[in-house]
Amino acid sequence: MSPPFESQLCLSRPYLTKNQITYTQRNTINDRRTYNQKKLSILNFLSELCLKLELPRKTLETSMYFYQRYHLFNNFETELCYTIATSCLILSCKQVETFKKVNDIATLSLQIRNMIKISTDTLDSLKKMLYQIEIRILEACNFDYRINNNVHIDEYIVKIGKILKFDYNVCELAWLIAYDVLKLDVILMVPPPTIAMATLKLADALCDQRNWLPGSYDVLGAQKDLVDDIFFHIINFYINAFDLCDLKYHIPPDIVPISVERFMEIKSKMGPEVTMPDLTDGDIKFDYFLEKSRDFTTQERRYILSNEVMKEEDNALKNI
Amino acid sequence: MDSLEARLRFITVLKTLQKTLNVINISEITSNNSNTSTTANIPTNSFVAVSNDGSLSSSSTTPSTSSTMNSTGVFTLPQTSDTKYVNPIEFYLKNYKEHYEDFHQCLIDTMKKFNVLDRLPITIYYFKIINMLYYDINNEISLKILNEFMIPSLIEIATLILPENDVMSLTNLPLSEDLVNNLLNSGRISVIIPTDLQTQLRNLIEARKEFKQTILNTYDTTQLISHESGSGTIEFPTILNRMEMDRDRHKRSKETNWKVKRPSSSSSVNSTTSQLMLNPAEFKTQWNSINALTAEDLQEIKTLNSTAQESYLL
Repeated sequence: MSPPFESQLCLSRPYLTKNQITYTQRNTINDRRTYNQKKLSILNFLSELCLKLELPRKTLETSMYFYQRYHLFNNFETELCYTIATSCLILSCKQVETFKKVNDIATLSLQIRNMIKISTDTLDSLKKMLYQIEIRILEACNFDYRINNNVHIDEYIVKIGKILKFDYNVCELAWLIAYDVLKLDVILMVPPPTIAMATLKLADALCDQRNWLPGSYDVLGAQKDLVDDIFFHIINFYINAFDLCDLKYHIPPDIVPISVERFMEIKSKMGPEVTMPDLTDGDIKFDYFLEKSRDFTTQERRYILSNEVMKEEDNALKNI
Repeated sequence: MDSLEARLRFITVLKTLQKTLNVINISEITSNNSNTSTTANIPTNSFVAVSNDGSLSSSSTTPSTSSTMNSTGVFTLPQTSDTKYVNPIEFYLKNYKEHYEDFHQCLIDTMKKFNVLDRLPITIYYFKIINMLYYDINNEISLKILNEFMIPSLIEIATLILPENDVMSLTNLPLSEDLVNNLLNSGRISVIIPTDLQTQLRNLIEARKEFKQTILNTYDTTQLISHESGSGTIEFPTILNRMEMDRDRHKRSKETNWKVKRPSSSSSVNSTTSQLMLNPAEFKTQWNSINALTAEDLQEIKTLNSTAQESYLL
């Protein structure tokens, strides 16, 4: 009697709510403080790689999405995080079509980590590890090719800024804010256009322009509570972790200098803090996707993109 | 080497341009320059004006920060250039001081011998050389070559690449127009090009565009393209070769047109990584190259929002 064949079918869920993310991370991240600290170093590391390889911002954004997504379903280990980040960059180069040779990326990543002499053996074993991590990242993202291929935060800041007829300065400020946003886990929560809108709203408030109107949401096909939730997330980051932000060093000369007080002032004028609809802690544990830590021993693991296919499969199994 | 050898080698370079010109990327050019005898301090953004395939996308234009005079980062990457063929830019830079006259004559003669469909790489190469020499303009040899050879022959080159009444050569028109416009609108090189020459060039391009329009109009009405073929019958292999070249050029350009040139950390010693990543010039390029939200973008937003909603499974 042959052993039963195990197959796992997984619906792709590229975006998760804040509670869902926190709940999932309790499986994989033991030390949140270290994880968050390392995230800042990783952003710096990836930025250096992007500088040397002449990669655009969208590659960086996608890499950060992959890095954070990986750690939702795979344990966080401090020693490995740079290698994982390198693998994220390689994958994101393919996803956004800014192709670079793996050899180049791998060699550079070792050089930045202060390895001067790189033997072919070291490089080969690194590449092997990078490819193994790559498949894990792909599984963590459920092989969802629809996400992060065409739509990116920085491009949408310009697109939305132009359609709403914002000033160049406001959009530039939003673009600067968007770099800090990569440090947060909001990129796992909502699609890039929503983030772009939240950064524009904040930039608009910082410049006292008052061009972001209640009607703006509809024009952009946006959901108000989502945009506002992200807006508050970003503003809370600036208030609570002002020392960690890069924005303060790069404010364009003609804009009022920023400070924690300024952000608190803006926040107080924006009304009560809005959060997007979310699950309670009681309900979350019924969500199999988040509850179970990933088990890669199942023989067949399939990922699908739509709920309809899931229902069809379910029905087919019931009818056997 | 003597004149004859120089010419022969240059002809070989010209004949292999279609393979070598596209493979060159900017960091290779500047890293090779440090080994040549030229004293040129050629900034990387000089090649942005005419990129690998001669086409100009606004994403390839960099800010005119005069501080970026040196080559890009000093990191070492394995040499990827094809060592079978000579790098044409390097070859010219190494030898032009002694042989510029030979090279110039050679270039035009070879161009005349080529079929009109095959002349495009040489034209791109020609404009690249003009750009390179211009950046070394303080050197009197460069100035002499530009003023006495390269610039006066521009009309001849233009006529070779776009002969009159030649329908086949109209495929060269878009790229030639880009090359000419970039040269004349740059505000830098154009100052040393005499105005009557500039007018002549522009008129030539305009005339060809009108010619093209006439042909298209005739086609619309009569479904026929009739012309006296100025360049004789064109062989099938030539056409295939040209199609291959175009395809290759397009492929190469797609490999690099997303590149973002930022000032490297070696040129600005005190800059932090975030400072370099948040360079205002980069945003300016983005601003200039991206248009306002379109209906398609709105559709993308809606699709992503619904994907996200399904994903939350609330």
